[in-house]
Amino acid sequence: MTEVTYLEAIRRAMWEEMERDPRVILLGEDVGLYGGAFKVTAGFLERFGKDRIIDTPISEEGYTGVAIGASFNGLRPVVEYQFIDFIANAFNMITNFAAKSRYRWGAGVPIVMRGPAGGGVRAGPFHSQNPEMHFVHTPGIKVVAPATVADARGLLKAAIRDEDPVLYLEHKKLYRHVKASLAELESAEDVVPIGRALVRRRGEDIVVVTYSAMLYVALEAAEILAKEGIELEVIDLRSLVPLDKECVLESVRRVNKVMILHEDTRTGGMAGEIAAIVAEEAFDDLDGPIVRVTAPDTPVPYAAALEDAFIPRAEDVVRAARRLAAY
Amino acid sequence: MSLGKRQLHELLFYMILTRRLEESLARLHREKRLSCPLGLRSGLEAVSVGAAFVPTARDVLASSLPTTGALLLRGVKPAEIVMEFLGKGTAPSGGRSGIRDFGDIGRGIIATTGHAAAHVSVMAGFAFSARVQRQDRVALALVSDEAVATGDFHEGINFAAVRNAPLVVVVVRFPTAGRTGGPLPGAEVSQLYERARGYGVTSLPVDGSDLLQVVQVVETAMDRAKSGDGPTLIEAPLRSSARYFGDDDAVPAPFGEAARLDPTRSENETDVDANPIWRFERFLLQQDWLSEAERTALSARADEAVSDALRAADAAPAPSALALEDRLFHRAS
Repeated sequence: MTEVTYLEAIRRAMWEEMERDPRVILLGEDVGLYGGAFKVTAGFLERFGKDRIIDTPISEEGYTGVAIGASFNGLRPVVEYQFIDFIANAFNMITNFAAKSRYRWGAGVPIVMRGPAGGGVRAGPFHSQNPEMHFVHTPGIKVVAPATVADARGLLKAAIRDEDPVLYLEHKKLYRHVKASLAELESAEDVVPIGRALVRRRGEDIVVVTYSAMLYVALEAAEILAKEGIELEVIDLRSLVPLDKECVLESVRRVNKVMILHEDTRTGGMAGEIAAIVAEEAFDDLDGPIVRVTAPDTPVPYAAALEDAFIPRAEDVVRAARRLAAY
Repeated sequence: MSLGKRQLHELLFYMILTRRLEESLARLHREKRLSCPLGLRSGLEAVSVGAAFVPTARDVLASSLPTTGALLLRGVKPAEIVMEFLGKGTAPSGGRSGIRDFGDIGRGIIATTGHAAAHVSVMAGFAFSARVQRQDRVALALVSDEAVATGDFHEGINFAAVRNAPLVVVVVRFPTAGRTGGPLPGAEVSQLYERARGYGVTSLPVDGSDLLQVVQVVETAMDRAKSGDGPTLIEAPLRSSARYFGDDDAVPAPFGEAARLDPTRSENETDVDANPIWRFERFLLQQDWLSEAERTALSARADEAVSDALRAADAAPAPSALALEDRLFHRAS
């Protein structure tokens, strides 16, 4: 049985979109000759040529600006940051140029900004971060974070076809660990609409709202807890902006207890935002406190013992769920 | 470029219009009718009008220069400019932005972000995309000298050089040394030439107070770009420039109307040379391409355009608060 990895799904999405639409170009450090730091774009230069696969100098702000300018002239640039941590170098261009252009002067910026996010691979503070909230907090940017092979492909295709700037966060730990059969991928939705969450597991005791690699932590915890008679409902947000709050609220109203789980740090994280939405719109439906399981407010540490303590694990979810279930 | 009398008069008109419009905006600022800092400077008329005169309708321009001249040349109406400053609902941005960061792709104007140089790499990207799409288009970026110190400037020029993009960047060097990021003592103009060579980019000098020189040099650079010869960096030093102060009826001497000299009989030739409008007027008068009556008529036309703009902007409505959340994303998405 042929298997497709999460990484291969990303590669396929770009390849297919570049075949479909000659306006799609790809630019970033080492995306051409080297085929990308994680080999996501291996073979692209040979197929699509140097006018569409553009190796750039190390200049995140600059080549993000180049992508914006090219988008004003009809192209559909996909920007790859070698590690998403370095998107910080392009912060001004993304938050002030890309995010505000349509609002200020009606000029859409149809670009995709993608790169490997997340920890768990012992890569230390500058190759492991989850920077989503910088951009979730910036009106004018869409943010997606796929967890599955099908979503990795479908959301990237949707992002490339979108008329607005989309930040596409791919979790590097999922690159080669998450797989699906080719048949499964082929039967899945080709283009996954941005802004639609999915219930990945039905349960009646606690709703766990999560995204990206933490989906698997939630599902692992759900298996453990099921043996104790605690049934978790697991929601995979898939998109952070726009947020499918109806999906979250529907589950909360039915299940009445909610936990939010993410790998990003705690303060100002997605969990706080979702907790506020639930408190504002489904307070009367709650039978217990809203619980957050997140990384602590520290940089992502390098040493294995420290990083293991930093990233939420299934046992953290299990512990918190037991307390909440007993409330 | 061979310019006829009518075009020469139009160029003079736009320089005068720029000055009169900005003086009027300074008055609005003094009357506390602008909620934003004025952020405009005089003395830039030759660069902004001259550079913006060259591009065709297919080319694009982005300017972070503290002046409105280039926008006027690209077809932005004085009333639109005043409405933007006043934050009117009928302004092109609907009150969402300011004129310093104006953009309109239809008129070939790419917006800036209020930062000195963020648009340089954006324009490099536009230029690159024009080249790979085999379009006959050039991107023209106007920046102040302070931009040269930024990473954006470096990254944009570098990318354009590496990719042979049809980009022309005009750097205006202000006479005041030591401004934010601008030329510091010991780091004067010549460094720009050296930097251009470092990028493998052609560099051209031009007197930023001489309109016809600006037109000629920008035209040369744009022709190079269209011929596939890559980007050009133009350095345009000004002999004089001053901020418009909102608390003065007239802008500081020697540029205010109160200090206006007759350019044909000036005792201070230096001032005339430093003032791009006077300098061009004098040139036209000396060549017999402009009569006193024509000059008076152009001046009156500029005054009338500004008066009309102020009236229209005054009458324009404020934006509706209901529009606050409109146009953040594409409607269909």
